[in-house]
Amino acid sequence: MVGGGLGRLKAGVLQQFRKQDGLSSDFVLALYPEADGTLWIGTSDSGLCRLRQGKYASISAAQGLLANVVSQIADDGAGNLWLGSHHGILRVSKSDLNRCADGEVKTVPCLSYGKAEGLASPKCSGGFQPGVCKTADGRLWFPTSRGLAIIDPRNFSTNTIPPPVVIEDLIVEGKPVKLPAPVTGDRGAAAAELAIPAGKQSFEIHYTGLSFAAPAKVRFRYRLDGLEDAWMDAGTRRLAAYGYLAPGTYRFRVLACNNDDVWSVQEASLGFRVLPRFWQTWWFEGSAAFAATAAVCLGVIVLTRRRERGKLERVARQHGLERERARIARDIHDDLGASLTRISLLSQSARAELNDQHAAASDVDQIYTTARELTRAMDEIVWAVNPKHDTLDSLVAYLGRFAQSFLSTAGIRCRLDVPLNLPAWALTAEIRHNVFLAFKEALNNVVKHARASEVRISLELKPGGFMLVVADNGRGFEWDPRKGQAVTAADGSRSAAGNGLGNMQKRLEEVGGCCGWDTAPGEGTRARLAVAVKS
Amino acid sequence: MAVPIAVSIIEDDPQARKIFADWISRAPGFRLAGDWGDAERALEGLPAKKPDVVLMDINLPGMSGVEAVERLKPLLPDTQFVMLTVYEDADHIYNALAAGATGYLLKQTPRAELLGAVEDVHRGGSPMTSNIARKVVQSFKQTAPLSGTEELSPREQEVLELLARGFLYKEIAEHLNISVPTVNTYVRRMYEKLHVRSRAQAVAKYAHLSDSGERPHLPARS
Repeated sequence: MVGGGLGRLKAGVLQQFRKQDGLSSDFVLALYPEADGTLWIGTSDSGLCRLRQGKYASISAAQGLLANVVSQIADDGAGNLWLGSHHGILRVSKSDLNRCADGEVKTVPCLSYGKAEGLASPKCSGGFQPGVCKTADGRLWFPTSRGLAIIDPRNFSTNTIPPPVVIEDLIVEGKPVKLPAPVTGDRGAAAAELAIPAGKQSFEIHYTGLSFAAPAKVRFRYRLDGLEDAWMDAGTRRLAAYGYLAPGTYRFRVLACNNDDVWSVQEASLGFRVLPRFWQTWWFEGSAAFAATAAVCLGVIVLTRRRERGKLERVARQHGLERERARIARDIHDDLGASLTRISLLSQSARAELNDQHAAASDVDQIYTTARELTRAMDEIVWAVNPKHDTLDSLVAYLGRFAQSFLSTAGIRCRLDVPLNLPAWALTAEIRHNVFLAFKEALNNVVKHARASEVRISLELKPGGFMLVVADNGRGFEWDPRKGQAVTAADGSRSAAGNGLGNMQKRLEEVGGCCGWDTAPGEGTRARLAVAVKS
Repeated sequence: MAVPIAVSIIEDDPQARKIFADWISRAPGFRLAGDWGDAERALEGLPAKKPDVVLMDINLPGMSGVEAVERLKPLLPDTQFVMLTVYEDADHIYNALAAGATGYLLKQTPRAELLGAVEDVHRGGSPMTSNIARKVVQSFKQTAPLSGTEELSPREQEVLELLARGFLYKEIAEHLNISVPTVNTYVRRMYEKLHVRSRAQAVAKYAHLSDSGERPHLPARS
């Protein structure tokens, strides 16, 4: 009945069970019945199959079994099944197998014994039932392609020494980074943080586990906190590779297990920080070329990582979108809702005061002012939301218009210097909104503190971004570039502005930009708003 | 007493239309020359009234205010069209100006200011903001000269560039040592060149399509 599935002879009737009945394969090589009625079935292409109470469950390479050919099944009486295969003799715990077959766990730990353990050939010869023999002294006899293999299961001591795990190297864009100290155990956790410059396109972490019994069988599991939420099974690979990592704090953690599936108790870890980009250290240069090379070199590994990152980015975008929607809802509620309420209240009171002309006139004037303010607020919201305005041209036009009307009200001359042709960059609503708010803050500072008579607004294009400069001819202030804040004057007059400067910085950082100031008392102020644009 | 300025209004919101009509008809020196709720009916009735100034809403049901100006301006070359808009959307406004309008007003403009602006336009004033000036410069610089159209004179170009850089009319006048009405004249002439140009561009586009054997699908108009 080769290739005919499983046959059952019951009361003189032969019934055949095949793949369509739930059996994992039609090619059955070995059977092992247990006292409780469970039948273990070895197949020639789908590993092991359990038949219990009429139900089949398959345990194959996908579940961690080290071979899909199972030609012998033997029970050592100590809770393990020993399986003959083409890849050595395998030992699996029955309780693990049952838990996997019941769907409680996804994988089974499986040990294999091959040439390294003294087998002349890892290939068991099968096709016969029973193909394995257990003698009275408890020894198991397996036929292999190079003679009989005799195993005494009691002699198999498990290797209980968990392998210590060590992080050896961190290689960023092909260059090793000096690690703070030998990174093992929790010393790594306590080690000072490494700072990695912004914009690096590839990260490789080399690690190893120390086990003398069977070094080739040490397996690893790692995760990068800050990017991954779950442990990644690395198999026996001793390298983890990542593509571009967004600015942030990361901790790489790795665990190892020995040939007997004993996991290290103490993980090795390496914390590092990828610095945010700065205008001065543009990451664009050469990064495109490098990304291409890196992509080829890191191949499949990186692709997997990338896909995961793509998922993360999608999630992040989704969050961004939600944040944006929440902001719009808030703006509409706060700005428009409040103004409309005021208008309805004012018209009520105007109605009541019709006999008192002065009071009614003042109410009506307020209605007018509120309605105008409302149109302006609405204009701002509609502009920020409308995807038609997702261009640099539209942003510049809007900022220019805003600056002119804002400054003319304050009696300050306004000069614009913008290149005639602007690149067709897509600027999201979030970027435009944040740039607008930072710009508004800059103008606000001029009107409130600078005592200027003229403001020059210019736009400079840079490779991969633009810089907006708001320069006034006012009194300037003392700027502490190290602290990144305005030095508060003795009379405290700049403190409010200092706060505003922090806000501007925050606004721009939110969209991957930064801002700076060139100023000194009596010298005017140049506020530089730099924004990076991914084209 | 001087002849009152004849003003027509095209605005789809009946309340707003009534308010504007009231302002015009009650103000001394102004005369209401008809008001319409959509462009289609205005196309029929307006040419006979020969108004001096038309206040035209940009967003109208059916035919847009921009298209209405495009069709009315050739029939009424001496009439000034002023667009009414809720938001200062540079694209819409520029399109209207290229179609033949000479200015625009925000709908929330106070009464006195609105009347002042209408009077100003009638007397030859031509408002232009820096954003619009930028678009005009782009339009003239980016497309090749067309036959039958005039390029900007160096002086006009100078005025336009100062406008684009945020100079006010008064500041331009001081800077170039000319009077404010002269600045207005330059701007008015730029508008006219822009109209001719955009009409020529439309014709060129149509001719090009006909040459290539394609017939453009013109929307059916009643």
